Amino acid sequence: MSQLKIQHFGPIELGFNENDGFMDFRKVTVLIGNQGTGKSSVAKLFATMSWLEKALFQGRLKPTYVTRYNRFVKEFCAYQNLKSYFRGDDTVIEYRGKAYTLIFENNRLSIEETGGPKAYRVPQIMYVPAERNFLSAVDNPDKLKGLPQSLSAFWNELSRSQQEITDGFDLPVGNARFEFDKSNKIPWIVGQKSGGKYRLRLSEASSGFQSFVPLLLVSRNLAQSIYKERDASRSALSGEERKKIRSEVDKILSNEKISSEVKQTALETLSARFKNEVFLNIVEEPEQNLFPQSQRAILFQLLDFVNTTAENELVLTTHSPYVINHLTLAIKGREILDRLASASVPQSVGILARQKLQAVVASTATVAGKDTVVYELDEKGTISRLDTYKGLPSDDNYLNKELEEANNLFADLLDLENELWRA
Amino acid sequence: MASIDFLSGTCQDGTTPAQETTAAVEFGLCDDVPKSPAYLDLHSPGKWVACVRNAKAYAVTFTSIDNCIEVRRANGEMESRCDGLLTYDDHLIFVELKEKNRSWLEEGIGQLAITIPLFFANHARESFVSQKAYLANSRHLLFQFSRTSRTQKFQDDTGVLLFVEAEIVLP
Repeated sequence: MSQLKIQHFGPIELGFNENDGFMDFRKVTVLIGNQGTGKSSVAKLFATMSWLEKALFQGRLKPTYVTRYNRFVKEFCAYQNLKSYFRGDDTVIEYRGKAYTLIFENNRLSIEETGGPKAYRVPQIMYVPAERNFLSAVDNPDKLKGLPQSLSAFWNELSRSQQEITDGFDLPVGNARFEFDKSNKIPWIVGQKSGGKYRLRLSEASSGFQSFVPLLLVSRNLAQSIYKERDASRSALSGEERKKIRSEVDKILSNEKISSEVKQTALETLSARFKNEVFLNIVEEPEQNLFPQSQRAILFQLLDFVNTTAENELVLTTHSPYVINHLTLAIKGREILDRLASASVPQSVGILARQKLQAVVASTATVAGKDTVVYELDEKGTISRLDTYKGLPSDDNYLNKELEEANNLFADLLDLENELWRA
Repeated sequence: MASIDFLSGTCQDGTTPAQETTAAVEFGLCDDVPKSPAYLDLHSPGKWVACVRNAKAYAVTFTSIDNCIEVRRANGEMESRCDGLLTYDDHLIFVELKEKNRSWLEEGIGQLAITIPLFFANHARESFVSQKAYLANSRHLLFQFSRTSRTQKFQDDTGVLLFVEAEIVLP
């Protein structure tokens, strides 16, 4: 589990109000809050820090390269458009990972090895930006110039996922299927409606499809590829092999006779030997443009993907109360599954109970309450952890309270109406 | 604490009737008279805080509790109670009726959570095949919101399934 502390950065002031400011990132981490309270800043910083830790671990970057010339701000945080969020000496960012601790304070970054690299699993990090539907709305994203870097990186991964798809796949909503015409590079939505079969280019499909298809395509491809490679990569990454690769990296970096271009190529070749072992999926607003029922289907798919490999992680930002409600179903579902597994229930009762559970939430999409955390970000720049009851997210979250507030406000209007006309 | 018979049919003043029974397929529960018990009504839907749908025409009894059955705390103060309960064919439904804009949810759940153990301290839980609790608010009929963690806690505290809605449908 990694931890991140953020203070005086963008809209965030004192940051997390517990644990000396360190937020835990668990198997499933959800960030909620009003516009401009810093959800995306937290998600993007976590992506950046995780990426730096991975690059340092693999030897693709040397600590001195990262810490010098304010590269952390000008290069690595600029990648996520975070450069102007820094506030001089006031900004504090501290990331504690399993392999490295990165501390930014007094306007400079320092890096420490944490001594636990054995526990570190190399993550495939995917940041899924909120602008992803833009890539679906145009026919040839390849030809677009000036895309934000994170969107461009997502497009590269999406493009790769499209090419790697073998036979399309069924989408969890809309009774539809995704297919990709590789020779003409056209993504298609094929479905069945009362009027018969239809076939639409993704660029012509509804905004909901344009939002969730790229998300699912990339998440599915990465989760599956890591799951398939996992067994092979385990042995390749263990003990001696890691040391050997590390010493080879050092040799390349310290060799003054080869050009930096050649060095880069050699490092890339070498780093390919560090197969990704886990999937860190950071998703902005999975609910984008979706009907509540579809939001549930997409969330359950993302939870299914996070469950494919033990140490996968999912980070979500959301404005949707449904996401919290459906996550609650996934948590309660896991609790019942765990109780069924440990209790002496007659086999026939157990089978029936699992069938009933499956009708609500697939067992592969359930998640333990202890592996889940919801953070609320407020307008004062404070971050707090949402209370739980037996692992279930509290009903007193910002999104749910806002639904209840509509009741309160409606009752106020009834009062006003009564004052005016009942007498 | 002395035993309390919630189902005697009479309030503790010894005169006010505490129970009414109907087999109507639709009726309401009202609580619009200050300092008086909540009551069952067949004719004035405009006053209903909760509406009971009784498609199978069970003989349903509404028993008043608040302003009818007195329960004192150890210090002599009156204990907070829910408005009443519905019974039919060994099924039991605790009911709290609200007509309030704000702070009604915690307050209503609290009243139900206090009344339920008091009731079961005096009447065997096993004699009822199902036990539910309804919190209705005539001013909050429109927008639904999640009550998952509250429902879980209520179930753990009382052993009774909580519904926050103004329509009580008898299955």
